[in-house]
Amino acid sequence: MSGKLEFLIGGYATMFLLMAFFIGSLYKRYRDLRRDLTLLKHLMQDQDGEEN
Amino acid sequence: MEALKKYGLPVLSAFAVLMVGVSLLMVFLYPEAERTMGDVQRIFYYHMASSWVGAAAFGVTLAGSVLYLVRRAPLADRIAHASVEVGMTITAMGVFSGPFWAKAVWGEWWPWEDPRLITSAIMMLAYGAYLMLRQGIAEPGQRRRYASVYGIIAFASVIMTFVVTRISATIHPVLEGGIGGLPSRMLQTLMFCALTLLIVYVTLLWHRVRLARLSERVEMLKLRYYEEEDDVR
Repeated sequence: MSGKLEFLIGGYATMFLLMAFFIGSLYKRYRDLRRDLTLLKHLMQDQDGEEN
Repeated sequence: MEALKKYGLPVLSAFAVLMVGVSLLMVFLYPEAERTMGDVQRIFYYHMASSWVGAAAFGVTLAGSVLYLVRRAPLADRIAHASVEVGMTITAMGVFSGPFWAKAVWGEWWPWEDPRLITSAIMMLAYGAYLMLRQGIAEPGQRRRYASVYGIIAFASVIMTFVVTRISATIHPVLEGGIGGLPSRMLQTLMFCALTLLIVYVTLLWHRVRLARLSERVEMLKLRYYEEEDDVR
């Protein structure tokens, strides 16, 4: 391996950083939705309790 | 079917990670360095594979959009939307790795005289606009219809990107005689990288479609909650 190696490494690092960023954003959205779902379930249980 | 639902995605995800690892080892160790450009040419394997798989992802959006307009199947729209997000990530891998190769070989990060760079940027913007369009329409039915029509029109930017090097003068490297003209080790590495990115695409698409289903479930529960809250008042 020789010659302009920094460009080769820079290119692959950029590609996998982009991929990691997308996977991270998917995970964040998943975590937020799970939290919303749990919260909504609790709120709906409380709502049912109030109605009864 | 139950086992596929339960274990399919984790197994596929693990397999995709393994394939990425093996493909990177292959890129750096298996093919010989290109004679004139040297090792920096190894960017080519993922650069080209990402442009193929990115175009395939937008092709899936096209198919999903047509299917939604014909059958009104929400799953087709969900897949079309998910495929734009994943496709944009994979296309961005190609678009943003290109300048590293260009700087090393041509001495410029972004040579504006190359039409393929311009059409690739237009393609990214066209699909970025697809995501913005979806964000801008609140009514789900209307959002799906408009996005489907736009998803079909936007595919013109993919076609333009692929044919531009054949119809206009360009400094972008074009493989003479197609990929068959590559030395066998280079060809094997390229095909393995394309297969790897295809598996990564399917994995991410599956994750994203599941996320969309979860998001719709949360939206439905929210609506139900607020309706019942109004009834109580």
